[in-house]
Amino acid sequence: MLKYLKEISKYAGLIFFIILLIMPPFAGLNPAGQRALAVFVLVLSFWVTHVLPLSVTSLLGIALLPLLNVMSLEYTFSLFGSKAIFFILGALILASGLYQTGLGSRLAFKIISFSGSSPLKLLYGILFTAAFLSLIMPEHAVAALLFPIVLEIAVSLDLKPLESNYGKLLFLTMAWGTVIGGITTYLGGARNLLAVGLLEKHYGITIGFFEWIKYSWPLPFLLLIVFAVIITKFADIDISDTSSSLKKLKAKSEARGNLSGAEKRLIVILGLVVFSWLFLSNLINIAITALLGGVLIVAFKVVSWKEVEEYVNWGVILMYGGAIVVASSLVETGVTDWMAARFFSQLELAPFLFIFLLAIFTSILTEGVSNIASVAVILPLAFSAAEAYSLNPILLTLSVALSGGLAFLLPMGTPPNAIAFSSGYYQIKDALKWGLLLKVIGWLIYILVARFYWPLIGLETFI
Amino acid sequence: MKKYMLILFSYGGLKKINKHLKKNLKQDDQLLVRAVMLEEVPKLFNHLISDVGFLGEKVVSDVEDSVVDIYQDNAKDYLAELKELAAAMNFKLDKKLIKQNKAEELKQEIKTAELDRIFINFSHNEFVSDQVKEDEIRCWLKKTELPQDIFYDGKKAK
Repeated sequence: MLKYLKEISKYAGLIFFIILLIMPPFAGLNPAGQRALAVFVLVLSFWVTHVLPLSVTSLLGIALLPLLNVMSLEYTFSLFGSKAIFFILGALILASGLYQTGLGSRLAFKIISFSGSSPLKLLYGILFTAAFLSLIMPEHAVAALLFPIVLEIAVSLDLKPLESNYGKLLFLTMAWGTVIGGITTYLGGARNLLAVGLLEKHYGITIGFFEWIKYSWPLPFLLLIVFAVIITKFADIDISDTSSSLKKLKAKSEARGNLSGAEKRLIVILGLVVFSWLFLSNLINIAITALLGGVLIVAFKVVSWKEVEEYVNWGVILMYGGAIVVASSLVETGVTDWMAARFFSQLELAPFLFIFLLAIFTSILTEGVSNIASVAVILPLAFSAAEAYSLNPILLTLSVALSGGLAFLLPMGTPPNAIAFSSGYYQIKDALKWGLLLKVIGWLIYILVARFYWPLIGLETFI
Repeated sequence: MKKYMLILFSYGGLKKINKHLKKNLKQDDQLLVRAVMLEEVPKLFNHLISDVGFLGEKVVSDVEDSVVDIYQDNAKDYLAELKELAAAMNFKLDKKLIKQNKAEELKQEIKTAELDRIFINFSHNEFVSDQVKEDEIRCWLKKTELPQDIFYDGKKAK
């Protein structure tokens, strides 16, 4: 079904692109705006259908905008150099240190091996380890780091793929722990920063590192508790003892010995970076801190540049840069204003209902397409609505970014799900069963947070 | 005395495969088992490196190695389990691990082995299998007149 939908979207994108280019501009929209809209539709359909790799689609968008005379060449390229991009760059280099030095997996072993010998406690251990690590490094890196550990647990407990219920729970818990934890900070999911980058380009408003956590924390915190309760009350755990796997984990953890010099240096650098993000962000921009942190870990030989390159996929920078350029073209050419006047002001929806529907739509889209792509395509449209309804753009940014991160159902939504699914221990229907429940609870928590918590800390619905 | 072949592309749902074997095999029958060893997971690699995520090559190859390792361990464990089953049911067992790029040799063996029936466990999970290789065997088998019971991760195809 999804496959056919993607095929249709691919051709529909191309057809609409051509139609929009050759037809006269819509009433109220200038010719450059119409061409920007055409590029946006094409890029959107390619991001959703994966006709090309995500980053290559971004390059296509960047190339088409000056080619079609939507924006000048210099201006288009200059949009690429946003703070968000450089923050992501620095954060990825820092995360490479956690991955390559083994400090990340040392932390994971330590936390999980404290979890006790009961199957339930081991699941809690994996859940909270995954969520905690996703506060300080990208969620997909956490899933990759935890994956061999969880596989080892499954093997040592002699759990059979697709037959053991506990095996299913182990991998789902690992994936969903990272997904839930990943929405909390800028480091867990760079899409959060992409959303803030778009906010800054459109409105000149920025959200600091600590400020983001202040807004986001209730959602992951409550979701984690709810998920832990679901496991405790409803999960069918078909083994009674996990002490054998715990012994192995402890032995592996001890075999690592003391912290290496590189790990110690990394701890100091990370401490300084996080301190600066939390307390000095008014003096030193978080992007500069991230870059300096990246420089320090290479300068102090925590990792070599070659190791950084093995870890970092530079395609991510092209993807984010392209998303910012394409989305900015919609604002620059007046497409967002036109959409606000033409569509969103005509909708007779209560503003809060609109925000809720937007969050639901984003969280559904993110199951089928990359969560970066879903934020990149929905947020510019949401900003149009912000103007029509006089909604607070910060609230819309949070709504799209947080909902865009909560992909629980399908492996194509987010790398942690794909990694967990590659274990072969569960089928998609297993993820659907619990993931749907978690999704609905996520929506309910989101409503409570948006309705009561955000106004309480001064984030008003309207401007 | 009949001769069967079991081809394993997937090591999921093996309880059901065992049940099927117990139902079909009799004393002194012969079972040839060809356990395909996965060496890479191309779909997973592409997915993680450019389709949905931007994981670095080192991270993706670490994940892929873990997937392949567990796959190969599961294959070896199951062959050991089948040995016990053969001893208990008193049927003859001829088991081999085969590389996934040896599809031609496998086809040749199926042609010449004078089998009465073939059982195959494929996988629907494209992240733990090479669907291209599975498809090649699936299409080729369709053209043969050999009676076959096809499973997907232990679930019998209708």
